[in-house]
Amino acid sequence: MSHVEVEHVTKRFDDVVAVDDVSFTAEEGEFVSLLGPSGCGKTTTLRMIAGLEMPTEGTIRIGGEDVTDRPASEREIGMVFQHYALFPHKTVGENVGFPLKMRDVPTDDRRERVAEVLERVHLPDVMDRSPEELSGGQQQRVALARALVFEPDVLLMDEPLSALDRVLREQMRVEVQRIQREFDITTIYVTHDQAEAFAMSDRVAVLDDGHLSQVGRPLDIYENPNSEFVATFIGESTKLSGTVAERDGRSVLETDAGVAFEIPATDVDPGDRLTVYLRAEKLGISPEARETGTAFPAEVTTTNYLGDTTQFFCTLADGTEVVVAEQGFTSLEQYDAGDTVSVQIAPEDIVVARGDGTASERHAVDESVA
Amino acid sequence: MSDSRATDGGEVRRTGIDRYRHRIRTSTLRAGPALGAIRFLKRRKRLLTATQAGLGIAWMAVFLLAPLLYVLTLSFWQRGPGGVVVQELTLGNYHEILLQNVAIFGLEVSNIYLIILWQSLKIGLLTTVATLVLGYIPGYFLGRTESRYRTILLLLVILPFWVPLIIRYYAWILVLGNQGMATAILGLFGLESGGFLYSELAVVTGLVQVLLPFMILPIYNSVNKIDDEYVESAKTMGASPLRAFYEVTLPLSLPGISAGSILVFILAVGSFMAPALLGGPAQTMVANLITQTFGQSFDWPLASAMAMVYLVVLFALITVFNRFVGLEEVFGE
Repeated sequence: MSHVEVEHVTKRFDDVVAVDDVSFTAEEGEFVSLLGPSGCGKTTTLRMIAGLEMPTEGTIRIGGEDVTDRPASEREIGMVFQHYALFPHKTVGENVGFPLKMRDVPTDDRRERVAEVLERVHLPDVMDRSPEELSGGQQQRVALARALVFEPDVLLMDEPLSALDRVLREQMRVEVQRIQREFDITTIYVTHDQAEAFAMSDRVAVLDDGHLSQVGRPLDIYENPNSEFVATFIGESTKLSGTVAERDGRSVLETDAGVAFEIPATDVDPGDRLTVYLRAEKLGISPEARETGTAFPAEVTTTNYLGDTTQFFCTLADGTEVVVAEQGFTSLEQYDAGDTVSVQIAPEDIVVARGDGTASERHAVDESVA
Repeated sequence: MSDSRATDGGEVRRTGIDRYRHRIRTSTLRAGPALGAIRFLKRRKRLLTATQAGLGIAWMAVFLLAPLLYVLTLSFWQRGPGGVVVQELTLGNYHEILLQNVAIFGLEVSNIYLIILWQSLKIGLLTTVATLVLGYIPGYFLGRTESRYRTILLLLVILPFWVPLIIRYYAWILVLGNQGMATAILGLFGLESGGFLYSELAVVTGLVQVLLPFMILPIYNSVNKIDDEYVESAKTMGASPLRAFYEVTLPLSLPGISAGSILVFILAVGSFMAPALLGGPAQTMVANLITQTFGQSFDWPLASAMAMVYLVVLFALITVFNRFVGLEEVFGE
């Protein structure tokens, strides 16, 4: 039995289906992220776990207890809101002590526990300040302290880092993870930022347009995306479709774009239609045009030097764009716009889409998850 | 531009509305001096700002501050025979208002001005409390609802402003009078009543009806600004809806409460028509007394002194209120 169980949960607003038959679980102490673009239903899902929205259908269990019909105030959940929602008319101490006050903890006891939890989030000596005097990162810590002070069953976070600037966001990422581990609390975390989800989570649930696309460890999701949505949402890749052929005993994809390359020996037969994704960072580039089993020619249109990586935007004969990202590339001067180059891909790095990568396949995925 | 046609000479023959537009445009372009001033101001941003603000300030200075200063001066002059103002300095008016017939320690305050001022403040306070209680609920509802009828409901709040005050008070006379609706309805239950007119109740009822929008709108405005996240986070932390209201919504709507209360209190204390139409002699309020002194007694200096004392008392009260609540919250940052 998992600590948090979301079972076949659907939420309709009037005639809009915001969340459609979503199921996933979180184990005790596990960090699970709900990842997806805006409007995919991740926040609505989180709000249903919190009890701020009631599901139209489905069941939510926390610690084995069915809490589906329980209001938020009776669920023992700590929640960090996107804009922290620290009460501006109360001091930091009163804010953090609020959940204890609601549980009728005596004032002295309350003050002690507030001081202790502020210590644990590395923010001592701010008890009597107004939350509005604190920096964004400090407010974030106060919000975390307030969500954790009453030792709730689950910690829910709704894009808590999105209001911070990039450097602070990366620091807080580490800090949130440290605090989560230290309190050893089951956490469900909503984000649209793939890097954030991957860096922090034990498991990631990818949501697309109200549907759950895939749940798994970051590694599984990255290496084995099970739908076009997951493959294209995570990282940058080029989608190519074509027909499978056999050359010298090896499976080769003759793409509609006119190039052909070797694909991993999966259970495909010559003549099958297949769609593959070429991840930008798994592609290589070399100056002279070659066509071997693992390389195909392309024309450079633009190069972007980003410091740690260099991006090459290339086009195939029919105009399909292929993006190549080389790590720490220095011989940029070898490539000019208009040059014909060759792009290499090792067969084992090719992501093969299951099915044809269209919407009809998504339901098959949902069933496999459920 | 469809109604301007090119003629052979290349000139544009203008027809209809376009001709007027053209005429206005050329006459504007020829208004050199006026345009020159505008251009001059545009080049000097700060001067332009000062001019814009200055217009309002100048208006207030000429039409509010100047008459007030005149009233202040008048209050130190004397009434001559037949209501003529004698321009000789005296403190007699203030002495008459504040110190005559006063035995504060013996609590025998028989000074009519102070009694009426006290009466006005009391009616003001009663009206404020009643509008606050009656106005918070609709203000709160309008601020929190996501109904698509909100705009229409807000319009309904200000709709009574379209009905002239005097008609609204006369309507209350019809309701509260001894042959009125209130008596008739009570009669249905076998209760006898001689009407409710010419009483404090009638004055406060009329004032509450008239001033309610001034309470509802600021409360609506400040409840509406409270982010849902605050209330929701209180709930996730274990607050029942009632507790969340008491701990979060109510304190955060305090700016609206104090703005509404100050508006209603000032307007109620200074009301003239409600006590004149709905109240009896015992409900005479400070505005009525000042009007009588000005108009019937022709004692302008005494009336001016009354006005000044009233102004100072009101100012003092608002300052005290400010100490406790903080007016900067009422007027924003």
